[in-house]
Amino acid sequence: MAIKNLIKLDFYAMKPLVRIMIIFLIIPIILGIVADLGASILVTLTFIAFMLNVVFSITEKSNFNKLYGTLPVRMTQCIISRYLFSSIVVVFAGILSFANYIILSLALNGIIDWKRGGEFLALSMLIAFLFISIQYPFYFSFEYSKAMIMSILPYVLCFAIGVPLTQYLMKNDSFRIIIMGIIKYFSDNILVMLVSGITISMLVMTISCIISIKIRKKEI
Amino acid sequence: MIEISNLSKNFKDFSLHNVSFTLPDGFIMGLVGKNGAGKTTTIKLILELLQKETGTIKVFGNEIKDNFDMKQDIAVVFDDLFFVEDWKISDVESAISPFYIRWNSSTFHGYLEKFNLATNKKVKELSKGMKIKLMLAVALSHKARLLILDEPTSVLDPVARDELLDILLQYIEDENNSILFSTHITSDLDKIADYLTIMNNGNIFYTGIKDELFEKYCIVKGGLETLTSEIENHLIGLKKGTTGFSALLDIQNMKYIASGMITEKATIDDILIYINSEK
Repeated sequence: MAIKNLIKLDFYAMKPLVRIMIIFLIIPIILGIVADLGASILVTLTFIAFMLNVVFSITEKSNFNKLYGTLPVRMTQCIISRYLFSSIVVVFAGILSFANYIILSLALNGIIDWKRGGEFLALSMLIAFLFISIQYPFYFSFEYSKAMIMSILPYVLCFAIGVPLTQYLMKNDSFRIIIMGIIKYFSDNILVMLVSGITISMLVMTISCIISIKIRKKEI
Repeated sequence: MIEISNLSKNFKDFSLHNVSFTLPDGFIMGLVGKNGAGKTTTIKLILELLQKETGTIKVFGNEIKDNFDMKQDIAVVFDDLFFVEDWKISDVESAISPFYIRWNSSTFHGYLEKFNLATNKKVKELSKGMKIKLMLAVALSHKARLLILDEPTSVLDPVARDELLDILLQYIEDENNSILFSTHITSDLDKIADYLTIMNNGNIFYTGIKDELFEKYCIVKGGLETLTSEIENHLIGLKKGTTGFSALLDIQNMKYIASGMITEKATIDDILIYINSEK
């Protein structure tokens, strides 16, 4: 019950920003019309994943740490509820962006490419959950302004190491064949891709949540 | 109601040492001390906002960490607001009330009316005093048995402070209710506190019945020529001027008073000033 109320509290905290978020969501719709329908799902969910960080700014500015101290809730419940709140928002945004994909597909092309839509939806949701999982422990450890900078570091690190490493590995024929095989397998088996996406998302979110709880406990 | 014993917490630049005090049911305890004395840290430890290193904190006979539902019976008012500035007052009730099983909407609206707070007003449109009143309305609307106030009066004007004190006295009419009132405006405590806990640099200087504090300490003044090393050892926060001295003295050391010295009744402010001068 406490977690349910804390999720509602996060929704209330974000309430003043809803109008701005809806205005910003027009961008992926335009992108879908002029560029790529699949990309519009990706842009929507990536935007939502980054926008969700604002809840930390609002709660920090509003002294929610003190509010949590007065409410009959545990700090662990506050952290779990933040992850659940974010998951609900991502899933809801996923449904909306997929509905948008269907409507635009029908309006622009007259047919719906379910496979492509499903691929983009699974991939976009996985990316959104990965973003959240990477960033949230920073937001639970540092104040918002610091966390915003710190949470970029893993991406910079991934880019700095990942790009040259991938380029190096892709020169290796057998590695390239394996990777292309994996991509083709997931592309051909959309259901497996969806299930894997959900499983990996849940796993990284759980690990991230545990890390955040441990960090927070250590801090107080 | 609250039993704290040997509570300690260490930070890089501040430590709370073996803090112990007891607030019985049906009384108001003033928690006083200069800024940085450890009052807010103690309150945060009671609320489990910080984790203690040693000691025990019992509220209603149990440790909060074992039973967070006990917070249903605790209400807190801090010196700064913990609601979203863009919320309307009606949003505050919608967001907070689900947490409390004994939330009484008519009590809340009764306080809003009393404090002239319109439900469609945004939190950011409220003055500092009004914000404190809003927090107080929330705190008093879920039938809490323990009210913790962390320096709420520092931003209130004298009229609003007087109103607040009246509300607290009304709240305490129910003998099951208690108040822990942290403040550095000691005149408020003169009016309403039954017990006092004085903190200084993370230590407890005094805890007990308020009136006994004034029976325990007095101010001693005299010329410098009357000051002997014997009495100097027993003076607290000795202040020497060009012609005379003044200090706080434990009544049990009255025997060291020499002729030419005079004693005066000490106020809470005096005690705070002298213990702060003590090295």
